[in-house]
Amino acid sequence: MARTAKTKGIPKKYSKAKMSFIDRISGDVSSSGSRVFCAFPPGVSFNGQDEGEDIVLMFRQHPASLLSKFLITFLLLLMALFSPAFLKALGFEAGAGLSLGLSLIFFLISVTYATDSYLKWFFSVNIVTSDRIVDVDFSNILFHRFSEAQLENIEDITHSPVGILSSIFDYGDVYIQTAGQNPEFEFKGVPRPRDIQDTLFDLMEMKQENKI
Amino acid sequence: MDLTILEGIGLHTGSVPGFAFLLKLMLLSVLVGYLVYSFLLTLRIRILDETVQTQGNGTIRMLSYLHVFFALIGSFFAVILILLG
Repeated sequence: MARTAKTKGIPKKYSKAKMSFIDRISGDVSSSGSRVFCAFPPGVSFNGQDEGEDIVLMFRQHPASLLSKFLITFLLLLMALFSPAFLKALGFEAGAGLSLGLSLIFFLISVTYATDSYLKWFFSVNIVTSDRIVDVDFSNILFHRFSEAQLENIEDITHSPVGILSSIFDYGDVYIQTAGQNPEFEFKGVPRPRDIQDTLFDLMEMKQENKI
Repeated sequence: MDLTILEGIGLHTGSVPGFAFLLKLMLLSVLVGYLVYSFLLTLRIRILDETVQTQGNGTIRMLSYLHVFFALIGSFFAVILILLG
């Protein structure tokens, strides 16, 4: 009974295989695709997904990696507050309209910076399916990259937590060596890198045994 | 009554542009860049929305439209304040 509850939402072919990754990710099943780390997310699909291809994991960067963006937004808001005083300190007597206009511009920039950071975070997703890994990298508004590699082409997986924050919040980088045209995949600042590594190894094993 | 745009940003015929003029010109250029960036961001979100579909995409798309609307309204007021300031 406990096993059934634990594997609820997981397709039978995975729960029957009794791989270790099922226990690791069973707590993240049925969560919405808007979350940071979700297993078998309902209502999630991507461009080029084949019929019968299951999305096993979908994850984004850990929110702690957005801390620097949050600090910059805060600094921009401070500049919005203090820019008229700064102009005065420079010895320039700006009119009320100009001071207010300058503050408004800093405020607009801070709102856009925060929105931009959130949107980039939301759409920079990593997906592990029963056939491949997909990395969507949205780094700036003029460029985004959609890379994918077949599970059969994966040669080596390494994970490394870097820095103090990653130790506190349990996140890190996962490096995947593949035999394809993109020799190395990087999942940067992702939560629970050990679980991701274990899931990938188990899926590769299942793929080799033709279980998926 | 006969205030032209050039007078609004502090440039009078025959005068040497001062700090106020340069500051206003710079702020107006920043606003143009800001608006272009906001529009491009919305366009990119539209593309990415079709690349990966999740349950939260509708909300995110709405957020990007709200953002560009906010950017337009805010920029409009900022231009008025700068020209009058």
